[in-house]
Amino acid sequence: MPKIKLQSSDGETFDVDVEIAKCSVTIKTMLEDLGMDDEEEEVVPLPNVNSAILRKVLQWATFHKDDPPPPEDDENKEKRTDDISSWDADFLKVDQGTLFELILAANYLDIKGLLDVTCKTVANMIKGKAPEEIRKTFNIKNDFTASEEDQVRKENEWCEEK
Amino acid sequence: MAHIAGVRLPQELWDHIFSYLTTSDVINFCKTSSEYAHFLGEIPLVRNFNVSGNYDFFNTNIYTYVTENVSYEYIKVLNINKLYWVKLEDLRRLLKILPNLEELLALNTALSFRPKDVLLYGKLKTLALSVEGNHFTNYVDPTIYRNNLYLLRKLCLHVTRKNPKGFMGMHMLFNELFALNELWIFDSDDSHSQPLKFDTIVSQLKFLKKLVIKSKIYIPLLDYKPFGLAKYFQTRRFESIAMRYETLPVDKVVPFRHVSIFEPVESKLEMAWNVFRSYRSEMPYDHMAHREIYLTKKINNVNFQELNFIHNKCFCTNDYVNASWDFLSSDNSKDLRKLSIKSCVLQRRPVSKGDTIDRLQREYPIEAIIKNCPKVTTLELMHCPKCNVTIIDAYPLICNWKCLERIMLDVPAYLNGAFLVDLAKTCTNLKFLRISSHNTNENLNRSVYKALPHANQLQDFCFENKAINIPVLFGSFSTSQKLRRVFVSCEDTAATSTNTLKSFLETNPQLVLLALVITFKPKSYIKTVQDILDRFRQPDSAKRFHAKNDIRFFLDNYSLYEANSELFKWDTEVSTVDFYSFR
Repeated sequence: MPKIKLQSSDGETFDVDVEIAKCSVTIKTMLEDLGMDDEEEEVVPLPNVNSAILRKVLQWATFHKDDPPPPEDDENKEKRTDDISSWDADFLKVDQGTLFELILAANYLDIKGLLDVTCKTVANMIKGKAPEEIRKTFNIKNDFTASEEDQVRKENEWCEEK
Repeated sequence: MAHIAGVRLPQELWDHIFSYLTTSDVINFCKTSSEYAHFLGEIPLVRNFNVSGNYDFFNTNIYTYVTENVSYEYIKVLNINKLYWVKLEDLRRLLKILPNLEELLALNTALSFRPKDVLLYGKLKTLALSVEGNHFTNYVDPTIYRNNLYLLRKLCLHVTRKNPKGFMGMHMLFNELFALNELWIFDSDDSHSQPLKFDTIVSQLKFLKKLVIKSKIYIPLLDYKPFGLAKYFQTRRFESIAMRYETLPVDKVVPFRHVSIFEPVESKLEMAWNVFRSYRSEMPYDHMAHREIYLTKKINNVNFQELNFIHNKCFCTNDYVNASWDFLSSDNSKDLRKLSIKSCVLQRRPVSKGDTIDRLQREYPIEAIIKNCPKVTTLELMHCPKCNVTIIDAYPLICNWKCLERIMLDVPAYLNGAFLVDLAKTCTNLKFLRISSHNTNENLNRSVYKALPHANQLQDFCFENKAINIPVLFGSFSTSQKLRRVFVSCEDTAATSTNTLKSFLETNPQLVLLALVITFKPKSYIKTVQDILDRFRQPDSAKRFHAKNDIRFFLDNYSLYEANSELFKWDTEVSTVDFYSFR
């Protein structure tokens, strides 16, 4: 099986089957446009993806290489988030930094399946939760109440003076 | 720009994440920090504005909220189903400011088909409404419908009350909707014997391609082949009959009377199907599976999402139970989400000669079922009065369905309910819990009181038993402040102290509905309770807190009942027609 080399932002190169690399529409287009198929020595630079994330992306792409192409999104239908396969669910049991990096990488490399499943995972972390629980989940600092309170206080001060 | 875990996502990726969420979830996310507050102003997010059943609008005026926080001129789809407490004038004001609205989903809201409402529907292609007969008049000028509803292609009508006063006017409406492609109609008024005239309605709609009918009163099994509509789904579950029709090639749809459509029978599942058919039983699967089976005449590739084995008649024969197991143990049920079942199917059976069923299945069929269908989120378990000996083995195993979010349990009198504690501890996503017992079951009460502190995510709770200790019950709820709706019904209460009720109401300001029915307590006691409830209701009149002697108060209060019917009455949501899914 023909292989190509992918180089991460931190300089690590990965030998990858062309078919697996082509899960990424970005790489696929690059290979087709530049005719890089036969150039064995050519290295494809991926300046937006570091080696840790690229390794994860390739692990995902290897497992899903025989998947049928994901269906086109239908804007009119409500999308499901409870259809994540158990392999994907285990694969995405990572820290939030890695999960969000994977979303960025999937978007940059244009891998729809990976983008969908990572975004679904984040959506599930938000779904059905009250604002305070979402803050806890993502460690978001609540600056909202304070500013709102200030606003109310200012308005009330004005009332009092009058 | 928003950072989470040190990573900055561009707006289009947030949009992608939010595309999996309802607007209510996005609203909650936007409330977390001022950094995210602007998200609701993003155009792609607000095109489909879905706040169906969002109880936060108890405290927030929806009109003010939308005008202040949302780029409302881009809203194309507005889903306000179940916002029954929002005032009619607020809803009308809201509709007036939405220039691009094409779809309005407003089941169980104050909006209806009054002439003043109809004037607001001029641009709509899709419309869902709950109506009462008296919102129509028999003398309405038909041009008001003609001039304002000519773009309408899809209509969902939930008839809550068929007052004779506007009955004819309701039928006249369809005269003017000649361009309608899709009609859903739900007659949920079972108090009048007069049925809707479905034949008259359908004969007026020349371009109808899809028809969905649900009725709580008996209707004949309607045949619309002459209008090019083939019936591919028909089911009778509890009080409701549901039917679905489409413009499918009529000859491809096999008539329901055929004994077998799989020739020759090859798989266990096909055999199970034949057993169900031989009993003339309702098929357990939902309309999507029905459609696929009747069009392809194959069952082996169908992916079951919902299975309902509860029917009007009780079948406890070996054949029937084995066939149910075959459905539940097939690969086709691996993605099952909703299950409605009678206890017969879960009970152990004695070995008989020549029986080939796997031993594990024989002893604990429920273990094998849970292993095969691990994704079940909704479980309705009804006690079968005929098979009440060995079934106590099955109930404690329910907690192994760890994804359960909605549970309806009919608990027999001899079961102490100890399993409920494990259930509340293990099913950490449990949001809806209904427990029904029809005999005096003190042990069950004690188990419920022990289990409730662990149910941290519980939003809706209903409990029916002959006698319930009201003070102890209200002292046992978890302190997580998630509860939204509580319905408790009993004949008597062992104690009359009201202290725990008071502190429960103090610590749960988010509660929107509290319905208490205590049949045999004197009116003076009911009044004492109601006085306490009123104290907590006053600041926000949208909240409904009622103590009554008779459940009829709730059944007669249509807007309250229809929006919360799953609380007040045991009915099924599995393998039937869900009108809230209309879009």
